[in-house]
Amino acid sequence: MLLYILKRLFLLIPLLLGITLISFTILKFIPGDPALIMAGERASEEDIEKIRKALGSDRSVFAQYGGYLLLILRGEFGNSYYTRRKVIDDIAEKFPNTLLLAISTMLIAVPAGIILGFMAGLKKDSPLDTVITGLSLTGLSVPVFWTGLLLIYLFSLKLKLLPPSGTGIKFLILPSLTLALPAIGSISRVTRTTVIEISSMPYIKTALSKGIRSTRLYGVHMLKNILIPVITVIGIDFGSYLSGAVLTETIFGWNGIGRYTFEGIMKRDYPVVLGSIICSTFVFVIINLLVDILYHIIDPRVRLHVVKK
Amino acid sequence: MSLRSKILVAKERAIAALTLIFIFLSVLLGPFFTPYDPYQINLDEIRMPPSIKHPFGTDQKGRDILSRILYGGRISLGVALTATAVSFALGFLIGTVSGYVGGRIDMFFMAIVDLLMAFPSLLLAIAISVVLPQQIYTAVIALAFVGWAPFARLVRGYVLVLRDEYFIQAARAIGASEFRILLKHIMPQCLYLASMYMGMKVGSFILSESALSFLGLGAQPPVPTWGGMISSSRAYMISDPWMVLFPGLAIAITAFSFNILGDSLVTKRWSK
Repeated sequence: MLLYILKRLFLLIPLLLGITLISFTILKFIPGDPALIMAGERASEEDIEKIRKALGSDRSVFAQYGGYLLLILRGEFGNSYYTRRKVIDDIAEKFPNTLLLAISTMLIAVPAGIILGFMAGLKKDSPLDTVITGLSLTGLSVPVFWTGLLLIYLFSLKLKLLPPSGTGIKFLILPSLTLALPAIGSISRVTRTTVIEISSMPYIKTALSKGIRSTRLYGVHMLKNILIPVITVIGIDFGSYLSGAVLTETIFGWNGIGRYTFEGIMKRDYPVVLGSIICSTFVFVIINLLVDILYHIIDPRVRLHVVKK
Repeated sequence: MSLRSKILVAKERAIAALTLIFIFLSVLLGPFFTPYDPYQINLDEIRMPPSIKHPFGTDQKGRDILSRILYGGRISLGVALTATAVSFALGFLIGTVSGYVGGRIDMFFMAIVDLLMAFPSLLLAIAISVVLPQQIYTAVIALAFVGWAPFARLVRGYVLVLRDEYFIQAARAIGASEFRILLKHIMPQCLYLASMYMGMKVGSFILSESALSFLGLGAQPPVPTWGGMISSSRAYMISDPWMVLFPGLAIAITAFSFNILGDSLVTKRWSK
């Protein structure tokens, strides 16, 4: 177990090197002096000098990448062109908000997705199944920025139930609901498939023939096996929560990293865009690592498989 | 699978296919029939609600929204489908070669695939398209750059299984060259799987394209794109919701139909 975690942590190093290599390449694609691009033309002389020392165009590309890597490791993503604040400070300030949004999205999506998937899977091919399958496919087919706008129109402007934008718990409902729709779609689909798959397994038949109560059958025996694919899907979908945040946070005026990235894109504030995307990717990588480790904790079969290998 | 659900799947597939044919025909031929120029600003008719004259209403510059959706569809669907096709071709080629040749080449390409898939794909596409000059093809490049990796991984996995099959050994035994085996035996076998996956992925390419154009990346105004139309009329949401409603419906219906088709391909395969 510990060995596995260590191995995974070790594999993280080349991955993080690769991610910074890609972001370095993207930075080099921007026309102009990379040091000025990162620090911003209005930055203080010493800031520019510090970054120029690392990225100096007189050095070889490899040395420049090395310098860039050192900058990233020190948390130096440059300054915003407009506020002249350090990008890393802005991100540190805004990231908790996005994380909060992602968590509340999951709090809606996971139970709703599992319940819908269960209902569809247990009544396979029934009209109910058709409706749920259709709805989950709809969730996966609508652009989040559009559903966000529609929800604001419906709940804030017409029904006047929820505030359209701002930061706070009450303001969290609409954006989480928006991001939850596609997540409910993918979670209910994978739940449905798993329920259908395990319904015919011997252990479920045994449990049934023992006369087990259905709450226990669904809530314990089946749910345990459903959680594993659901966790996988959450790990994969976490990337779309992060990119969904870029599309929806602005609509709801949510002060997170998504809106920060959006504003960076609109103003061509390169350090802001690149910095937020690198940070989001790091978070995504770590979430997926946690998901893999979580597997080992909850599913003994995965552990055995690794030991055998 | 029961007969009833088979019929249902067949019906769904037929409806989705007909919807897509309808959308493609309207997008391709519609602009020849609409009486309005999608670029023509008409300040006498700004923000008109849907009517017989303008079935989808007009936008903040008095342009007919239906005409703009039809023109915009050419661009949005064109970008999304080109990006899908390029991703498919690149992924298929790299996946088959990488899986069949193995060794260092395989390690090299799979490292790149792992790396690309470590990113939240839309964010990487955004980062790439922000730094490139804003043109229609920018969105294609960005989407294809991140899009080929899952294709390559899928196809490569399948090639690894195929590589040891008897018919490959037989081909080798009668003296077929490695290149011929790859081209004539491996690739055709993978084509079905890869196209099935492509069918499943088109919907998400359409959504990604709409996200990029919503962010103002790719084709620039006044050229209409579905995502761009939503983003530019966002401010008028309160008074004139149709300006946001119709372009979004166009995206959603197209993506939904592609997803239904993709789904039915998978169901068909599994129920065999």
